[in-house]
Amino acid sequence: MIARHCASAEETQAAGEAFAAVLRPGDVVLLSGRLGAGKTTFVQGVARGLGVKERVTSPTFTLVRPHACENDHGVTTLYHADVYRAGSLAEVFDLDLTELIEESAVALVEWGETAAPVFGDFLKVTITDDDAGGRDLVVEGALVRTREHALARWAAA
Amino acid sequence: MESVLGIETSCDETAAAVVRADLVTLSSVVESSIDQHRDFGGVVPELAGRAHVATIRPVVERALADAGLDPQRPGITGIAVTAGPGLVGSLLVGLSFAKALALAWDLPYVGVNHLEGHLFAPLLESPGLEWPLMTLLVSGGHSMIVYQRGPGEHEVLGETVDDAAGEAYDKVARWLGLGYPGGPVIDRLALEGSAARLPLPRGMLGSGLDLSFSGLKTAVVRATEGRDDLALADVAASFQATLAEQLLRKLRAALSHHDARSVALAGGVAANSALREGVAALAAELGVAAHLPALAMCTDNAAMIAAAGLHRLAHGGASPLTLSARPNWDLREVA
Repeated sequence: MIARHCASAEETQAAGEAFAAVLRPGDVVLLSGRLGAGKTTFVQGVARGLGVKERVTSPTFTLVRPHACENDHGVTTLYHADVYRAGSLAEVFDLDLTELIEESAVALVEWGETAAPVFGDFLKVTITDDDAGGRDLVVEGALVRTREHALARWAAA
Repeated sequence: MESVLGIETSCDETAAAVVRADLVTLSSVVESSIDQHRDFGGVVPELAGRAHVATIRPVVERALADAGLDPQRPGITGIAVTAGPGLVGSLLVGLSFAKALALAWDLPYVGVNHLEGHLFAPLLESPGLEWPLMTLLVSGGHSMIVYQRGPGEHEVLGETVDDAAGEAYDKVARWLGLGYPGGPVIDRLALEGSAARLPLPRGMLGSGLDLSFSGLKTAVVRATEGRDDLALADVAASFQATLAEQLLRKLRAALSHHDARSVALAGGVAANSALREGVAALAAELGVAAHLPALAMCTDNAAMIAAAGLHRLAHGGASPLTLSARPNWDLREVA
């Protein structure tokens, strides 16, 4: 199992930043975890790792927010989606999320478990919080097989 | 006198309004997916931009008729339409409709920033308000403190670094099993509860004017999980009091660093009773005029878009027909 423990919000963000090195253009990352688990915090870290200059805030209301990236692994856009408000799979389909994922983009989808059937292969990051304020990050999904080394490095950091 | 037709379809409301150049609202129609009007055949799915397609024409026709105008030849002098920020599919419906009307009636039209629209809402009720104006704009999608020396001259002093205020309401309401939208139900419950029974961390105590509500949301989850002994009303009261306190503290700081003669609330969360009372008290204490718009002016509407459009059109801001929807249009980029 690929997992990483974070003791604070800063560490969750750092884990996100390091996770950017695992990503390749076209990737979809589904984020799972209850309210307040740290999904947006993790995305903020990934955004930093991908060289997003602007502020990354919760996209719940606009549902999807694109962010331009500057990095050397070919990702030009980070799509940050949050399907919390989407009550059903039909509503997620209405968002046409799959249309967004161009060859040079990656998509991070909060409350992604709802959206899983919409996508093909993806990475799923599940964040659980403990009583001490720490967070456990677990990575699963079909794309794990193709990223074993990078993910092992990420988990060991 | 000049008058502008405003059209707003940035999220789940389809709205149209006619506003005169002296900022008198001649009509304002809002078709909401929350308050489903039977006139238009029922449900407007919250997320489907194409639902606006079905409602835009009857909404615009009714706004023109309500203003005493002929919907075929309305005799207006311009059209204003929300071009962003918002859901791209929803924005495109209003934008395309406005372009078609502008072309058919040979009228100038202008793409308006939705947030600038919110900033004009207080002027519709108080056209003679004194500048400079400090506005606390709080809604489901945005939370910011904006300083304006005059109409259209805005400076964003601070904004949320994570969740919007209204979003925090919605998420906490969902966590507590209170349904959507969260603002009205939490506000109502809070009146019956006591904030003192569940102290919550205040968050974001820094000296800057940025806002943060994610920590408060998480604190409510942590403080309430597995607790059957807590009264929902007390949780609601504590959450609301803590959120309002943060907003008021930041607003006070903004007012202490900037010379403003008026303070206004805007956006859907401006309907919140704790916030309204707090802003009124703060304004009285600091000797500035408070403008607390009616609920219909706080939430998304097209009169505010028409008002912003009147200003933009009067200052040479007509848009070309090639204008695209701008889903992430930052208020700072509005010149």
